This record gives sequence, C-alpha cells and structure tokens, in this order.
Amino acid sequence: MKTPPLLLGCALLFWGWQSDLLWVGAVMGALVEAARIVKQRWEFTDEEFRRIVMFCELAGLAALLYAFSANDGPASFGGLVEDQTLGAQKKAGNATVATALAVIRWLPMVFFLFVVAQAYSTRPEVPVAVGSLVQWRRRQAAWREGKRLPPGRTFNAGWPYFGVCLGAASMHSGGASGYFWGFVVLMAWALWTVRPHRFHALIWVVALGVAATAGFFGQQGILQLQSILGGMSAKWMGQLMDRGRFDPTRTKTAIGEVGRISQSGGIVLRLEIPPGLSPPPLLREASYDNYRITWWSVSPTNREFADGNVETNLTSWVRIPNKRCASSVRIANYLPGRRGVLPLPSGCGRIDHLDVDSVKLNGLGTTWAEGPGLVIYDARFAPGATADAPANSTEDLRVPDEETNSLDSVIGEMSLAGLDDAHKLAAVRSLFATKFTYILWQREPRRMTNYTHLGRFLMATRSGHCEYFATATTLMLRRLGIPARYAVGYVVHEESGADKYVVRYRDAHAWCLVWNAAAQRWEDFDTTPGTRNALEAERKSPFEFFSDAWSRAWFEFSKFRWGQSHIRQYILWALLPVLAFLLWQIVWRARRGRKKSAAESAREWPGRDSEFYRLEKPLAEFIGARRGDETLAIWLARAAAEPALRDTSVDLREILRLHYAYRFDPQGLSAPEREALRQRTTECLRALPAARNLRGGTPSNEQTTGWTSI
Amino acid sequence: MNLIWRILYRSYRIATWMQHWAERRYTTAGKAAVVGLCAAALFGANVDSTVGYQGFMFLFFVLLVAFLCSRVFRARFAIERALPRFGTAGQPLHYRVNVANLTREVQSDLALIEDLADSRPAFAEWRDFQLADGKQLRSLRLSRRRWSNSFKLATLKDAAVPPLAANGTAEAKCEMVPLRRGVLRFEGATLARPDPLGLFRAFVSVRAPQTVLVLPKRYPLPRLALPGTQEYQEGGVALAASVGQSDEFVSLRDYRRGDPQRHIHWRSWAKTGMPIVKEFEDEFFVRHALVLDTFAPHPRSDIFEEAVSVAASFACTIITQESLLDLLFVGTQAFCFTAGRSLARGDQMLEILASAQACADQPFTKLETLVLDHAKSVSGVVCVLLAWDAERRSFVRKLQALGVPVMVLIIVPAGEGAATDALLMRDGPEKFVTLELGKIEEGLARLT
Repeated sequence: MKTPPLLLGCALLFWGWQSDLLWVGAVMGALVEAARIVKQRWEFTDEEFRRIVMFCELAGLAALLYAFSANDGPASFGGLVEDQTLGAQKKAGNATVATALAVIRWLPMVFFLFVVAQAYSTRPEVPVAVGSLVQWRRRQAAWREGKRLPPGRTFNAGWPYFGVCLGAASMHSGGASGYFWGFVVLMAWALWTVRPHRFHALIWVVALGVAATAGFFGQQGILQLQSILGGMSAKWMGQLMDRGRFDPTRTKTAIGEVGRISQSGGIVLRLEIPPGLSPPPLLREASYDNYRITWWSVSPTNREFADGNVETNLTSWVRIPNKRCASSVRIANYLPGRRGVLPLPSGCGRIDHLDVDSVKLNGLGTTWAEGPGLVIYDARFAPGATADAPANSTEDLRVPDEETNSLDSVIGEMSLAGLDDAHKLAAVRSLFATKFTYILWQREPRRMTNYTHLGRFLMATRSGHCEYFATATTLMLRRLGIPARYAVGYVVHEESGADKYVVRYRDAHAWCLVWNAAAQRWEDFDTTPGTRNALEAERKSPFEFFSDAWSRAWFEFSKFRWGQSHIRQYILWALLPVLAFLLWQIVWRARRGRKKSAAESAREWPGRDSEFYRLEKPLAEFIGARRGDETLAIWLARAAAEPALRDTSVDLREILRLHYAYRFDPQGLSAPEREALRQRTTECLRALPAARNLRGGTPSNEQTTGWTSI
Repeated sequence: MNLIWRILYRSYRIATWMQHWAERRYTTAGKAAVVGLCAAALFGANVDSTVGYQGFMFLFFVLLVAFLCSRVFRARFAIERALPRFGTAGQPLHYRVNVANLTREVQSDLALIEDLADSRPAFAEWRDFQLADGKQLRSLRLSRRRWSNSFKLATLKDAAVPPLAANGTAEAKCEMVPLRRGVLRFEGATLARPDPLGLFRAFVSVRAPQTVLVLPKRYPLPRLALPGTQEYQEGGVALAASVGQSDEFVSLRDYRRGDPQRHIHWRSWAKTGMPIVKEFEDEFFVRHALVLDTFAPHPRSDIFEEAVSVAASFACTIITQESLLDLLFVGTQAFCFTAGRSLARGDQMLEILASAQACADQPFTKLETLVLDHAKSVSGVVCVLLAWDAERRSFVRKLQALGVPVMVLIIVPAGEGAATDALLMRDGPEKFVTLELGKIEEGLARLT
C-alpha cells in the first residue's frame, strides 16, 4: 500500500524539527515528495536495490563507529578492562546509550537513499529479500542452481521509513509536548488511510481523540512518576555509583576491612624522567586533614577549589610562584570522565604541557583538572615549598576522642619526654619499623574488644597495610603536637625501559605529611615498612604480560585519541571518501552489470544477434517504418509486394521464418539454417540499394523510424 | 528431566497460542503499532534521554481503545462451505464459503478466517519429535532454518467477505495452502471485524465442522520404462477376471462390475437376458509392486514425507500406464492395495498414501515378508526406502535372488552423499537412485 501524499515529507520535516536538523529534514522531505511531481523514473533491478541497501547498511555502520567514538565509547569500554567498578560500568553504559541514541537519530539519513531510490523507481514496492542478506544469498544460490523461485514478497519501504522517522525524532531529551502532538498528528494521518469504512468518520475521530487525550495525560504521569522514583533512589544510587570515583574531598580507607586488600595490576600511570635523574618516590594525588571512623576528609576551610594560575601559552600551570624546580617528570595520566586529580611529586611548583580546560587547587594541594581523557604533562619539582596551605593549629592537630587511649598507650612505649620534633619523628619511624609489620591480609577479630579498628591495629595486631600506618602516624604525630596530614597517591618503583616507569593500581599508597615548623613547609613522612614493595610484587600475576601489552596498546590508542589528534574528525574525513567510493562502486558496478548482462544476453538468448536486425533499418528506409498495428510479417509482406523487390530473388518470408526460429524456438537453428539466415539476409541487404534505385529513393511521406522488431 | 520437558512443552503451547492469537487479532496496521509500542518501550524507557515514552503512551492508548472497541460486536452468522473433496500438500486450495447474516444490520468490512482443529501434538509426541529433531542438528555447523511450528497444517489467508445486507448472504472466496497430507479438519470459521481505528479485530465464531483430504505432494516423473514383463497370474486371483490377456476359455459366468466389455458373451446374454461374460484360466499382465518404507526414525520425519510423495508420484504415473500396481507398506499392520486398469483408481491410491503413517512398533522384516510373498506375481518392484542399511540391503538382495527386477529409490537428508551399491549399480545405475531432500524433483527428473 502506498503512503499518502506528503506523509513522508511531513514525517521527515518533523524529524528534522525534533532533531535540530530542520533544513536537512526539509530538503530530504522535499526530495521524497518531489517524486510525485517528477515523472522521470529509474529502473532498478533487485540487484541494484540490494546494493543500495548494502550502501545504507555500511553508512549505518560508519555512523555507529563515529557515534561510538564521539561518545567516549572506546575509552569507556577500555576502562572496563582495568577498572570494573560500578562507576566504570555505568560510564560504559552511558556511552552505549549515547551511541545508540545518536545512531537512531541518524537513521532517516542512513536509509534515505533507499527510500529515495524506491520513490523514483518504476516499481512501487521492493522485494523483502533485498533487506536480508541471508534471504538474498539463498535466492541467489537457488537462482544459480536453476531452481524455480516463488515470487518473493515485496513491501513499500515508505511505511517502515515513516516509523523510523517517528522513532528517530524521539531521540532527544526535553519534556515539551511538541513531539507528542506531532506524533499524534502523523499517526492519525497514517491511521486514517487504513480506517475501516464501516464506521462513521466521527467515531474514528472520537476514538482517536480519546486515545490522544489519555496518551497526553499518561506521558505526563510517566514524567511525574519518574521524578518521584528518581528522588527516592537518587541518594541510594549516588552512594552506589560514587564507589568507583576518586573524591578529592574525602576518602574511605580500608581500615577495619577483613580479608585481602585487593588491587589490580593494571597500569594507571606512565612516567618518563630526564636521563640521569631519579624518579620521585611518591606521587601524591590528594591529602586530607580530618579523620572520622575510617574516613579521611578535607575540612571545610580547605575544601574550596580555586582556579590555578595559567600562563599565556595556556598549557603551563603555576602551582608555587617563583619556585625554581630543577627536576621534572613526564606523567601520562588518564582522566576518567575527562576530569580527575593529577598525581604530582612532592614540591611540584609548575606543570607544563598540560592541555586541559581547567585546573583547580584546594588548600591541601590537591590538583583537579578537567580536559581530555588522557593528559601527558611535565611536572617540575624540587625539594622545599609545597602548594599546601600552612599548618592549621586546629584541623591539623585534631585527634578523634575514641582513638586517644590507644594512641597514648603506644606513645607511652616510646619515652618521648623532652625530645624535640625531629627526635620524635625518628622515634615514631623506629617504632613502626621495628614493632609493626606490613600485611595485606586482615583476620576476623577472635573476640569482641572495645578497640576501634585503628586501636586494634595499634594495641593488638600491629600489622596492616599502608592506610593503617599512615593514619596511625598522622594521628600519633598530632597527639604529640606535630601538625600532620594524611596523603594518598602512588609509589614509583617499577622501571619500564630506560628512564621510564609504570605505576600500577596496586602501587596505590598512603602516607603522612608532617609540618616542618622550622622550614615552614610540609614534608612526606612515610612510616610504612620497606617490605611493602616486596609484598606487593608477590601479587604480580603470571599473566601480567598480557594485560601490560593490552594496556600499552590502549595507551597508544588513547594518545592518538586524546593527545594531539582529533580522531573524530579523522574518522569523518576518512569515511567520506570510503562512502563516496562505495557509491561510485554501486553506480559503476551497476553500469558494468548492465553492460555485462547485455553481452551475456546475446549468448543467453539465442537470436539477439540475428542478422535480421541489420535488415530492419534499410528496409524501413525503403518502404517506411513499421506501424504500431503492423506485425513483422505484414510489414515484410508489404515490402515483398514492392515491385522493386518482387523481381529479386529475396524471400523475406523465409528470412522472417528463420529469424523467428532462431529467436524463439527453444531448439534454435541448425548450423545450415543459421548459415541460410546469414546468407539470405546478406543477399537482401545487397539487393536493397538496387531496388531503391529502381524505385527512386526513400519514400518522402513516410517515417523511417517506427516500431522495432523483437 | 521430564519436568524440564513439561515446562518446555507448556512454553511451546503458550507461545504458539500467543502467536496464533496475535496473528488473527491484529490487522497489519495493528501489528505495526505493536512493533512501534515495543520499540518505544525499549528506546523510550530512559525518559531523561528520549521522549519516546510520549509515543509509547499514545500507542498504548490507541491499542487499548482499539481493544475496547472490539468488545462491542454483536452479530450472528451462518456459513456453508463448498469444499473440494481433495487438496494437495503445498498446492493452493481454492473454495467458496457462503456467509449468511442473521441480523438486521448491514455488515461490512468483514473477513472470514477458517478455524482449523488444533494441530499441536500431545506432550509425548512433541517430546519425541524434539528429540528426533535435535539429533539431526550438527554441532558447529550451519543448518537451515527450521520451521518455528512444524505441526502447522495449513497457511490460511483471510478471505474478504462482501458487504452483507440485513439477513442477506454473500460468497467469500477462500484460499489456503495445506502444508501436510492427511485429513484437514475444519472446526468452524470466524468472522472478523476491525475496530474503528483499524488495528484490532472483533470476532464472531461459527461452528461448521468439515474435512478435506489432503493428498501427498507429487512430483512430475519422466516416462519410465519400469523393469519386468507380463507375469502369469494364478487363476484363483480375482483380478484375472477383469485384467490381462487370456489364453484358455474356462466357462461362462454372470457379469460382475468391472468386467471388460470384450469378455461379454453376447449370445448368452441374448438367451438369458442377463449379461454373461467368458472366464479364462490363465491371465498374463504387467503388475508392479510399489514398496513404501514406513520405518521412519520419528513420525514427522521429512524423509518419510518425501518418501510418501515419491511413492504418490509413482502411483499416479504407473496407474496411468496399462498395468496394475500393488502398493505395499506396513502401518499398524501389513497393507497391500492393488490399483490400475479397471480396479481401484489412482486417486484411491493417493487417498491411502495420504493417510499412511510412519511405523515405529513393527520390525522391518514384516515389510520384507509382505513383499517377498507378493514377489512371485509381480513383474517388477519399485522400492522407496528411507535409508540404505544392512536390513534394507538384505531385503533388496532377496528380491534380486528371486529374479525380480528392482528399482531402488533412497531418500537421504540434504547434503548427505549418494548411497552406493556395486551389485545393484552393476545391473544399471539408473535402477539405484539416491534422492536428496530438497532436490527430489531434480533427482526424479533424471530417472529413465
């Protein structure tokens, strides 16, 4: 069944309006509807329709790739390999949804060529088989085997395309009712064409009106319901989703957790240092000053982020003005979701080649950047001043009341009375080095005690991972009157080639920052026993080589994707010639196919190369063209009746008999008969000029062109 | 395990019922609307990203209104079918149905849908079929698409009913394509009326039980020179009275229906006023045996169905020639039907073949015994076999040992190579033919 006039055009216009592609939709709609005015038609074979569909499918695939790339699909799914947290999964899901939405939105453009081809073709419908590769192959195979094929089902592509336009138009957000009413009008238009005439039009209008009214209130109800449910679950979902994301304002330690502390061997940072220099031992991501039951957070006074100082080249960011930084390290760091904290060495005064949208710093020296998914920057550092705010006598000396008893007990073991800060620090370091051990496994407490988790570490187990040591050290120093903070980041220790280092997830570390009152600066103070690296190395998987290779490949791709390249533009520009080539192939191959089929048809249909055809034109010039109501036999009889030909030995009836036998008889002509046809035609062609001379030239009152024979 | 099969069977019944219901209830536009509804539900679920939910709600209420409107259809009809006696599997069956409007309201836009008897099998049969079907699947190999409903008897087309005046009648032209041979049972018919929006149909069912026998599919056969010559038939054979060529006159007897006219003894008729015919002692005529192997692995085997079709093709062809044909097969018991010349007609043979069932509870030797008993009176044997295993090979060898010319046709699954037998092929490769599923027609066309 045909689509009613203007329905497809309006659907495309509606799609263009809803998708912010109004002009595109208008042009496409005009092109489709112009087929009702333009009388010119093209003859497309099934094979050509199949090629057009294939072109549309390839265009769809190209659109899919482009949309996937443009919506961070590779980064999101690549991130899933190394980080399988809920947040990463959600990110990958979001990329999938965005890709799907974009592709569906573009579907009217993808399949436009197919619909236009049908609109301008001589066939009102196209075979179903052209849309299915399997069916098409099956039919082709059957055709090759010479099987009789039942007539395939056909369909009018306009109707599915109408549905595609309506669906594609919905791929945008926004609660306005424009889409709803447009959808209703177009659907009503379509439904009107299939309306049963048994019912009065008024009944139809009432029925549709009821449905439209109910639908309108229904869609509003859905919005309200979603709003209510969204409010109820926002908090819960927020908690769930935030687990995998780094929060610069607070961090949940694994203190108190039972079992093995698990961190993957995935590579998170890549470092490159100038030849001859040592890498910074620690890279700090963030620091915190407020501890409360396994949580470290940033106190309100230091929580605010301020814009960093950028130089005129827009890629150099100054953290500590006027600091001379002799050392530098190049760090490649992923920014999941295009934002995150930058791991930096202690005393980092400046960051070069950091091409991001913005850099912000908080009071505790945490550097927050927003930009591409991968940044590669040079961190310039030197011992001395840091970007952290000076020690605060309140926040940086606060110890939770529930931890004081166990801290005081441990401090009592050290006999620190009368020692200065430097000796206190040395004593603390010595205590953790000699009386505490580093382990990655926590047992279930055998019995209930009144200790906190940290208290249990200090008084009972005396073994734990870095977060225990860093937290205990920080709080112990505070208890001793030395301002201290808790820092998180990475240990740099694994070489990966000359002057190159890699940092893995399992190299994540926590340590203490201690305030040097004499020098008025913060210094790293790491009391975690040195066995840490050895223990972490034991966790290396024997198959880490594979993940490293994958990580390297992904890193190189990410550099291409996020570094200086613009892959989206590359893809687009690369796709354009490919699509153009495909289109050219379709046209060229179709033309070649036609030529081939013409050549083949001479072989496949004996008689096409009959010499009789050579006779037609001269004969028409002689006696006039064959009229529409004149059969070939009558026409030749007319010619034979001409006195000029009557006297010759030419037997036109015999030529015609042989021609028809050659052309239509399934058994064809025998070799002598074939030769006879050739000879007699040649004789006739020779006789015609003489006959024309005898008669006196071309008839003046008759056309020389007319009906051609078959 | 049985519980899982029962759950699967229940799912199968529910799924086929839903498919049947949806196909009948929704118009083409309605089906498109349902597809649109599902698509909108899928892509419009994320109300933050799309406004597809708006389209979903409209389509939902449109379909709801259509459904509610279909609840109001009070009409009464009567139907009368003019069914042909036979149909053929795979061939369209055309017939007319008279529809009478028993109300005072004009009825238009009606469609007539035939209600066939439920063809879904019982649990045991369904499970056996699935098990047998599963054995045919080959792991890690592409296989052709299998029919979603292998038990479907016919594809039906809705027949448009011309507008019916108050208490008036009209004739609907119906068409269906029977898919399987056997008895096709009509339980009644349904008159469908679309709702005002043209999406959902209201039904009024009329009970009108009727049957039509669907004959097996037949293939065209070339003119065959079947093996064998005229054979002597013992005088006791009842057939001898009406067929064959006589050698020696024995006596006169009363005319029996089917006796050839040339055997009438005109003078005796003139004397007695009753038709009298001459009876002869020795009868010679060509008599072929068509042996159908019914020992299929499962009752709905495609190979068995094709074997029946091949047998039907032979039955039609041989009977049209001047000979007798014995159809031999084993069903619930051993059967032998003779047709040809003035005995049973070809269509009667096809009726028998239409009802032939696969035999699962009898040994192959039963068929062997049946055929060997008949072998001495037949000129030649055409065997349509379902496999070429030791039992069947031995059976054919025994026939050959009796000096009976044999033509063997073996039906094999698609893609399976041709069976070979040096001994049989030595006598003539054209008498030992392998027919591949899907290429049966081509294989038969090569027969000589």
